[in-house]
Amino acid sequence: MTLYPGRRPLADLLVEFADGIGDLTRGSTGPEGLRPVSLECRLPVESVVEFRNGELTLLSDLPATRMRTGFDRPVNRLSFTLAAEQAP
Amino acid sequence: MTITTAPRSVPLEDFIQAVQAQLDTAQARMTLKAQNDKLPLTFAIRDITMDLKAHVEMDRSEVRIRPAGPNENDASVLHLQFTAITKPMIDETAVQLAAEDAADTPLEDLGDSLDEDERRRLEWIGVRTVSQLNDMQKRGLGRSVGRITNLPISKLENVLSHAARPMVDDVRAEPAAGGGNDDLRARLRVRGRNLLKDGNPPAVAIGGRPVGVLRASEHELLLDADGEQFAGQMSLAHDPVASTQIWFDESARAAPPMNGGLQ
Repeated sequence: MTLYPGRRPLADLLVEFADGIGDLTRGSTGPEGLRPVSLECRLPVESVVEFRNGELTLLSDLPATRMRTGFDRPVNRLSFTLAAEQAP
Repeated sequence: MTITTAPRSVPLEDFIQAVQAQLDTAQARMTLKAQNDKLPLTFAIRDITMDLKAHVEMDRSEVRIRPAGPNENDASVLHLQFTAITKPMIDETAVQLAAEDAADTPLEDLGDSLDEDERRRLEWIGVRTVSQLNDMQKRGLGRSVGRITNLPISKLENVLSHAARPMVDDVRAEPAAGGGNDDLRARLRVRGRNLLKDGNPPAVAIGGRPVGVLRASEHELLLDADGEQFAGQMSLAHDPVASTQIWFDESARAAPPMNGGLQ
């Protein structure tokens, strides 16, 4: 249960993006063998923190709506790079 | 059942750790997925930057932040940047920390000698352990440390004295080794920490009377107690500022066996 329904931990957001590219990797098996090697993102996110079972958890997720209202939290910026590497 | 609460504000350090925990979780999940799906490649988080709108507060020398809420347009912007570190970097840091841990006492282990605010003031200048504080003092920087951290120099000296005072874990009477009359005399073996200072043992007294130190090392003292000094209050002190007092009773163990021990 969360005090902020609709907002997920930051890890969920990052893994979802990585999953998206992962599918591309498996699909691009043509003769040329082109594969994406990195993805750079700069996203608007809404961020809050809450304690879950005593552990401080950062919730960061894409804004639920495009139009901002006075009830919405300000939008923060999250930039990250996902780069392909050999699986261990 | 998951218990959730919303903190009003959180220490900046805790917030950064919460971000790191999320990044570690994401990385671990991506790695596991690659292993389970037998993928040749996986994706790693290389760099991550977060511009966070938040309110910054100071609470007893601690920086705390609270992510901005609706209509809070005048919040500060924190620019947080993380990057991946390599295994050699982790190994180097881990070795250094392990070496520090083994030989040192963290300031928080000193109990009431320093309150949380005073400890944090010392952490500002990178002093987290007793030996780091001692080192600053030996280099003649005690006055500067006091000025920068707003801690009186007498307070720092008291802390060092308190930290360096003998710590006793165990006192035990045992028969003396060797021949002659010594066979009939028991001696006291004291085990603990800080039992040497600059190579010298502490002044030891039991029941207000001094006791000779036969042998001394950092973790052990062998005391030449007389017959009436196997119980009572033992005092150990490297200096008059901080001494250690303990009560013990080893009289039963020190007493010779009824049959004279000639079995």
